Amino acid sequence: MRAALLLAALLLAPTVAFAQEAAGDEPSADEPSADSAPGDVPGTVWPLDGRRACPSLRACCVPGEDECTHPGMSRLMLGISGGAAFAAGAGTFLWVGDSLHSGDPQSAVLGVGLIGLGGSLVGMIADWMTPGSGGRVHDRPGRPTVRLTVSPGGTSTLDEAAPYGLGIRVDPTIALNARVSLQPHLGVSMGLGNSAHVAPVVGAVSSDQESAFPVVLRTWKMKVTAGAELAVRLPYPLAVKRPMYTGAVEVRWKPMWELRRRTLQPGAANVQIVEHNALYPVNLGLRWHVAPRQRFTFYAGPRIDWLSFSDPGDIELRRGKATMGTFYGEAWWQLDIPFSPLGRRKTSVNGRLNVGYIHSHLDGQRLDVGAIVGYFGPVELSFDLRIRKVNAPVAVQVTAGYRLATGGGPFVELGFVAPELGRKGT
Amino acid sequence: MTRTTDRPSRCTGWSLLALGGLVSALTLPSGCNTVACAHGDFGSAECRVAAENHYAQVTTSSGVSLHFAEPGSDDATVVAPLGLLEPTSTGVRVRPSTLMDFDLVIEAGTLGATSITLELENVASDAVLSLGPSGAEVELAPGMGTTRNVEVSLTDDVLWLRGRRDCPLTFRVVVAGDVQTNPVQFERVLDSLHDELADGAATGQPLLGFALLGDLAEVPVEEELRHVSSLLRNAVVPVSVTPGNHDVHGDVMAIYNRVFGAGTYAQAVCTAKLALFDTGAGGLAASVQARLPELLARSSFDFLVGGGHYPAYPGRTGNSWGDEDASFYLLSELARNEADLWVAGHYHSWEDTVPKPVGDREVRQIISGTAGASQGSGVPTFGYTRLTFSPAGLSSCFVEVLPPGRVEAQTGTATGIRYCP
Repeated sequence: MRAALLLAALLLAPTVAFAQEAAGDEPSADEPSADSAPGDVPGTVWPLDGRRACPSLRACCVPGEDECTHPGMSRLMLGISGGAAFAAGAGTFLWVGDSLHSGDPQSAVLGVGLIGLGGSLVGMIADWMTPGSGGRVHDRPGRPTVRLTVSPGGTSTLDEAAPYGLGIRVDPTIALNARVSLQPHLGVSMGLGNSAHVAPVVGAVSSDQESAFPVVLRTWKMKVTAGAELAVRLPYPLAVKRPMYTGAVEVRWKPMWELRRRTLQPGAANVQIVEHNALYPVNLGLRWHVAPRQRFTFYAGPRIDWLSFSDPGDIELRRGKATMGTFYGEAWWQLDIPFSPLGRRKTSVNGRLNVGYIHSHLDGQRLDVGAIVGYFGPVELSFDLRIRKVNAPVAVQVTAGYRLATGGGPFVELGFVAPELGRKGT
Repeated sequence: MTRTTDRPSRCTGWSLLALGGLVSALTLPSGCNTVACAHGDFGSAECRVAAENHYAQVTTSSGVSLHFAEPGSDDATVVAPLGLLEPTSTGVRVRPSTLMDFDLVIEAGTLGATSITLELENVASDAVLSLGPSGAEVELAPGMGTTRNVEVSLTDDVLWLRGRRDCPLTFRVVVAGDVQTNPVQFERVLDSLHDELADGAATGQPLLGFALLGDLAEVPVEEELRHVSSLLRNAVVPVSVTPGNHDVHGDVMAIYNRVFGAGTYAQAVCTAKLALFDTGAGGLAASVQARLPELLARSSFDFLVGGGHYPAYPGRTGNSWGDEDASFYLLSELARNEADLWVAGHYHSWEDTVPKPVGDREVRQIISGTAGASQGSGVPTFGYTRLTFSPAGLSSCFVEVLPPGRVEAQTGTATGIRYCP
């Protein structure tokens, strides 16, 4: 219900905000840089037609930009390729089957295809709802340089405990040149206390309990992540001249390392530690700028696992060899939603809707569909809001989101956006 | 032609306010505090723990109370979730979940009941049953097949019905999962156990039982699960069952536990400990995770085998757990207790997967999701995996049960498992 409310609110957001048309462009924090400072105040007028615009469909040539994009054409291509991926994944899943070893990536392909197909449709609706507003959004939200994440805790089960989660992530952006950017990453998150679980069987309980069910397991989790994302914007046109104006493409490489440590205390027994290290060395992806305000991004790659554990009462981990984990993938469709025009007010406010699929079963989150349990990772809906004082080099970004998943739930983030390193004028 | 848009938004403030309100609403706690599983969500693994404890005890309309106890126990007050007790029109259906020994406590109650009929099933034909007050049980007449009726005269306030089997040094247990879409083929698998029993007896490797690893039904409706339960009444050896995702998803009536009893339990099978886990929700209940050190304690057993519907690790199958954190703890406890093997279904094929390094050890896994379910576009291979336990160690091979019309059985080795000669 909450997720449906959030989705409805986010989809309706474009109708309550007046769209703007930005003449200039400033790539966001998670994109390669252009030569403009965040404090610049570009004009708000750009031609919708004429020779500088694309010659047909919903033309979106933006002055000062190399790429001219037909959102209709690019969304059609995204829809077709997303639908093909969805059909291939579903077909592999349903018809090829286990006897022919349909294998690990089937669900990832299905999920990524669904995001592409859905993004194409929602993007089309969004454009219809905001006619004439196809221009790129100045200072659109991206990954903040530093952000704090809070995930709500609490449980309605007596004598159980589910702590709030707190995380901090650092993602500075380094513009190596006009087409290449690097975004190192470091993050730490943890539960602000122990989880407590009861056994639903009457047993010996402590005097402070409210039910007759004993607390049998206490756990505490923490996660450390590190990595980087290299984005290279491909020349456009890459091979043929103006290939149907289907939007710019970036190649992305996002190697990551994740450490998850879970401390468990079963009943009155001694504490044990289970540690999982995951390395994603070849996490490759593409970002497709299907429209000036819409992007589709996906990554995929193998996961390498190290699983370690301690004996009860011992904090020393028994470590061993690496092994291949499950296939990893993620896909995002993003829509920029400008709330107030920069230059007409003292503050610019821009939003971004994110719809993503993460093909992973870590952190206890997955999307179950009937008996289909354990095949799909979570779906995420979130909305970013970037607020910047005009001419200010820094900005604030808030995010609210919901993980549509068993074990998922809402989260909020508060981010600080610093100037990109290496960019002129910052 | 150019167009200028310069409409400053008064809505921005309202939008921010709405977004803030939405975030606040999302973070509000939901519902009143109540005890665990009060709402009967038996699709949840934790609530099935409550259900399996519930169905391991019963009080009849004549006031007679029965419950399962740990084999060898003398404490009549402790209930062990090791079987199913279900009132019928003529007595009480008694289905021990275990392959070997079981103990049942019978209390006469205060309503004046003088007798009760127990309709036992899933009891080995070579099991010796005894009945009476603790320490003074009297051996009952031997039975044939895996079902028996026992008329109990309630001569004492507390009686014990105990089942015991002899343990050979070398023995077989067979494993398979995934019946769902072809219960007729599953009947053939059950029929083939007669040959397995005869072959085992001839080679000095008696077959002690069958571990059925979930996905008995395509959808968790009572009719389907009762049908499979009726098939198991014809099995030539006892069958230990644990549920799969198709048996429990979305269940609000605890149908699996009501038809089969326990989903998570450890049992002694002579020199081996066999621990089965309810992984039907793609994870493990937190209270089951809390019991992992106990359930997987190797103690003095020569062999330790864990099993469940889901593979402990998916390898390249794509059949992952919903909650990998739970599987990591399971794998850690399997490794720490030096388990010999994890057996699973879920993947509708069979495979002796590459051992998974876990800490400084490795966990071996055999998947055998071949008891009848559809396997995709390839040629289906039905059958079960035979595990042979002997002083020389644990060995495995795959017994193919051909569907009608196919005459040529496969030989050699495939996906890491050799076909039984």
